[in-house]
Amino acid sequence: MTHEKVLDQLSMLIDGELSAKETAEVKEHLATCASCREVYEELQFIHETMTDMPLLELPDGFEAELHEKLLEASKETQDQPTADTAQRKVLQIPLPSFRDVKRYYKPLTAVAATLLIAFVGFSTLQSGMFDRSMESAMEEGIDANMATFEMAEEAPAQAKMAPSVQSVRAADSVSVTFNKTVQPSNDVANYSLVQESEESFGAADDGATVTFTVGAAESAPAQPQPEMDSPEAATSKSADAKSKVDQRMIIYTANANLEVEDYDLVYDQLFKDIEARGGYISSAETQYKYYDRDNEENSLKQGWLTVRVPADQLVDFLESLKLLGRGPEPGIHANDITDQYRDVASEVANLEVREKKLREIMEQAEDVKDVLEVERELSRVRGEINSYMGTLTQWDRLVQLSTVHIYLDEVESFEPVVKPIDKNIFQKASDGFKESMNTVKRWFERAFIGTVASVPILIVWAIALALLAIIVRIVWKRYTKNK
Amino acid sequence: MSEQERLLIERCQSGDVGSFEQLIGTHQQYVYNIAFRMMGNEEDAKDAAQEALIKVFKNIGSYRHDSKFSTWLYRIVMNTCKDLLRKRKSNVISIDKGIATDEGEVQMEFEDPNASPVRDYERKEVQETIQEAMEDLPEANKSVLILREIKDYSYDEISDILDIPVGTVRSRINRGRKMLADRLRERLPDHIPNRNTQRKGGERA
Repeated sequence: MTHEKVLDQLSMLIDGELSAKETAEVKEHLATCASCREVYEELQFIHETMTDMPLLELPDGFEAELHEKLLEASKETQDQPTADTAQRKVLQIPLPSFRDVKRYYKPLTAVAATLLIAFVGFSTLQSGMFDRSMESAMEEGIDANMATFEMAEEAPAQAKMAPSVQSVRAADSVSVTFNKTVQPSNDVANYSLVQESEESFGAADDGATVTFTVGAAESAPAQPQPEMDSPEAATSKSADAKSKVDQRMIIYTANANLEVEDYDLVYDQLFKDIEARGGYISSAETQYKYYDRDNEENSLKQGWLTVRVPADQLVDFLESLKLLGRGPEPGIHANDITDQYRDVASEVANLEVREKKLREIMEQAEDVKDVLEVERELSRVRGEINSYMGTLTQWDRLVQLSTVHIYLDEVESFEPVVKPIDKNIFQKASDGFKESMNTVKRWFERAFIGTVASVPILIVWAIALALLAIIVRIVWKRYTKNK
Repeated sequence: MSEQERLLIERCQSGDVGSFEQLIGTHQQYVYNIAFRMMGNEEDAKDAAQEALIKVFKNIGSYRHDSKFSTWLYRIVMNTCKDLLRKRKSNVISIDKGIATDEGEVQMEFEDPNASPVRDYERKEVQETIQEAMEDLPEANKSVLILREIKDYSYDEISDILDIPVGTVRSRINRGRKMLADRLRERLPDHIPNRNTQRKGGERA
């Protein structure tokens, strides 16, 4: 081994980044080479001294000062959360520089010329073909048939409506149900808020969730009542949490794939079943996977649902799913959070003791400065308790209500059927081919006519431009001569 | 990543200050110490640490779980310190002067109850000299050394945080240590295992 290579690897030896073989090699060299050994000892000394340096404590008031700044920052970001990201996006769009324009001068000219010809061609077309193309584009849009809609109270009924109407209806129902939240007692409004926060934890779509949870709260009175978040309630909740520590906390999630013969019927039954069990649908999405325009009865749908059912009913619910359609055994996933739950609950208990002590100190404090100090500490502790309690509540809900993801796939029949190929299909294909050939032909005709028709105008322009160019040239020549 | 950390990050992303303070609880002291070694004095260290942590809070929405949270956090800390150093370089003419004013404070912070007074003093002297020498180190060598010696990060992790190849980490650490050793030999020839004295392990007897 050369000295140079060894010298390069000394720090790696110290930091334990060499393989066993390399370590042996370097050590062997060090045993015989005094000068390398000296360097090694120096570096080792530096390493030891530096790792030995004690960590500095945070300076006084560091956390308090940071807390203030964080509050400020949080206010700022909440005031204009979108402006920042929007700006960043705009900045990422590369603006073409002058050099780019120069480099692409020729291709750009070609594109411009093509566009000009196309424009002339199109502008001379009367109503005929242009409208037709628009029309067929629109029809294609409907054909694509991605009739996605958000769940609302009347969703199962909506599923039968024409696709284009659905999105409008869904939007309507948002505003309608939203108004309802204001009118009834606080319970409903409150409940929807709790639901919303829970859903945002589950990363669901906000708008849809609000709409639906309100609907559920109205139609399913068996839902658990929301708890008020006053300090008293929180304390009772923490006591509650402590008692829960004794039992196991398990979050269940299940997945089910179902083939069904009548989508709307199954959907209806599912909806009723979940409601009866005291659960709710947290998201639902339906699409046509095949849309038959001539005979809507033949259309096939598929849908994705996420539902929440009480944990004790989960097995029963999955059993009942089997009756609705055909599919493999649903998968269940269990996540045991008992330990984490216990940790957080005991942390809350500690903090509560601390809070109580702080209150006692508060009563004895006389100095205004002391009072302020204690108050700040109190609010910090209270904030921490609240955030922990938030976690606990979320966990409680996740444990109470299991999540089930269901995929519904409508099939024509459970019996395999080989369908004869429609004889019309070749006829249709040939019709389509002819039609597009005619369209192409028409376009060329019109483009040709348009170009020829506009020749006089172009000539007038050309003459005008030529005259202008000559005049400019003469003036320029005189000007330079005079100079 | 623990479930707890994931939950906390999620709540930070919706702007919860309390959760954020919980999340950075154990990191704060390291952040401050890294900033101290980078900046060279406590006043700047405090400002840099706070600025970095606020940056972390403001940008936590863009944290995508593709690297460890701590890696992401220390990357921001390092970048903040580098930015501030660059700014300071253009403002302040003499770097040495800045250190001199802070020396008193630095001395008070180093303490080790187990050591004898004499050894204690010697060690402090060596540590201070190294801290001073760190000031003169190129920023590239300084940052890798700090992550290695204070946070005990592996070469791979350092390469992740600073976004440089592992090979570069290697050579910068080696070069940085050599420079520090040279500097130490210049200033305190008695304290380093020297070419002229007898060698006996890393520490002096």
